[in-house]
Amino acid sequence: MKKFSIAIIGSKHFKKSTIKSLKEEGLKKFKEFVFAPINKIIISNNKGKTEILYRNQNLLEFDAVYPRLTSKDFAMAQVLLKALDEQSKTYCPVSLFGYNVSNHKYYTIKELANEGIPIVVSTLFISPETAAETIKELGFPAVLKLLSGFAGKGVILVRDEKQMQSILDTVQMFDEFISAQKFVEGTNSDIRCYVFGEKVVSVRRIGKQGEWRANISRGGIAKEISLKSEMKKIALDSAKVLKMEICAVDLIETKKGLAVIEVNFMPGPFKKFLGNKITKEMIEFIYKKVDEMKKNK
Amino acid sequence: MVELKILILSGKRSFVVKKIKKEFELAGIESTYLNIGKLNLLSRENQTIVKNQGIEVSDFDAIFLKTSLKLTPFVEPLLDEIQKMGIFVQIKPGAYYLNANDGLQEMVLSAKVRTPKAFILANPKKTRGLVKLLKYPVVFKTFVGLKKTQSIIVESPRSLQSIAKSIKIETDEVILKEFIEGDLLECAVIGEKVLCIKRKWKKNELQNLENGTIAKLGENDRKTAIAAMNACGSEIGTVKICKGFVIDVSLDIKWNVFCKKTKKNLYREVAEFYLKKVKN
Repeated sequence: MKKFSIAIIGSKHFKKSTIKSLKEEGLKKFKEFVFAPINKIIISNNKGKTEILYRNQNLLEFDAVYPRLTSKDFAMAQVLLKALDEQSKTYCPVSLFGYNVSNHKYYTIKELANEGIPIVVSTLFISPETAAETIKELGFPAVLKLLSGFAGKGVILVRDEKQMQSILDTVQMFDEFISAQKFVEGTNSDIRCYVFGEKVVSVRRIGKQGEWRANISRGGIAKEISLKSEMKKIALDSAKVLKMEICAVDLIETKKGLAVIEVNFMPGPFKKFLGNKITKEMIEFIYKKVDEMKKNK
Repeated sequence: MVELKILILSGKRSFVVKKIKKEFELAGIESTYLNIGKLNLLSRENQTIVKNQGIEVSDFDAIFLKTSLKLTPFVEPLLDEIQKMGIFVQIKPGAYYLNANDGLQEMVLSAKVRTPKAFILANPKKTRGLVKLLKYPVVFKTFVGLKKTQSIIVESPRSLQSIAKSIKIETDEVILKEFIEGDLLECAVIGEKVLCIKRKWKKNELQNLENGTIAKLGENDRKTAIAAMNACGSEIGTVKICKGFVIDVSLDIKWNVFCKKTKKNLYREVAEFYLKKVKN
């Protein structure tokens, strides 16, 4: 018999196919499924009581809420996640800390490096003068990443000092923050490890011909690969550091072994290549957590 | 004499920074100024280094941080790293994120102190269902990203509806908050010390801080000011209170106005606060 209720809170730029897939899987397990885009939500604060309202329902009365938000939802996402962090009745697989850190490319790397998780050497700076010095130390080519970028956008491959200077000047003009990363030579592919609690599913992403980035949104492809113990360990450790039970950890293969390049708060399920596999895992994991929570009460 | 070394980290060597540096020195604290733009963070295997040519951040006992919220993407990982080094700063990690987002600040404050009834949403069109749930006047604020684009006091449900309807740009956050009419207590908080200037509410207008009068705070308001400041992740800053409700919190203080009005040397208060804090 189906039981429990779940609300998926989506980005204002949500992908219809992902929500459709989550709904299909959600309705197989949960008695009630609601999808609420964040721009249709109202958060109410009165006398210390908080409610997350969507169509006259308080989503904090649901058994589970899974926010799937991007950096474009920043202001409201932070408020919503704080409201979810502050309560213990509704299960939520992500956290405000996880959102803040995973939406900041350098902060993610810093947190993981400090915990001994392999990463690609990265740096963060304010002024172009300081940046130039540090990037030269990293060596060319280097990868510059706009902190506001996502899905492979705002990632620039810098081949020499001259090119770097003109990019740094442009970035400063637009009040943007950038992080620089050592460029790892190799193929245009990476490994995405989806984390669902203690379970990990690994997928190889291969960029389209002539493209150095492996993002699916840039024409790449994805296929499931067998999970190796090294991948599993890095993915689970990274998710724990970022206080997230559902996320995706992107890994790159270097000469020294695997290294994390970023952690995704709202991983796309690559439906075109994997069908409902990822959304099914997400829903089943959330259901299991709610069931455990209820039994422990 | 206590041997303390304090780093003053700021975007520029302003008048306030110079005054604070002088008071640190008069209190026998060795202080160094550093422009935050000169720093960079570098993460490699197992470690992160706060880099700067010449000054080693880890050599200091404490840091006084005074920078704009615009630097949040740099300051947050920096604060986290400084905390991990065990160096005292008056601002905790997470505080820049919190105070840069009015809605998030509202959320955090409402859990710790009395705040006016508020609704936070993204789409102004959604205010239609809320107009009858509020007592008027109401403060109506809109944001694009985290930048405030509008802040007005609305007198009636009808006006609120028409203003919300007139917004044509895509907003990221809208805050509707009941407006508390009355004298405003603007409090400068430095640790446990709270100095207050009362701004009179006259003929529907709030007196400028410069024209306000020094006021003695009641114990409840004093405790509220400290609790609000701490909830927002800092031990130094400003808290605005009206009729027991916390209206706003800021990580900065209008230093010159407070010094002139209260005839107290707030810069010295900061030095004494650091001396006490770091010694312990």
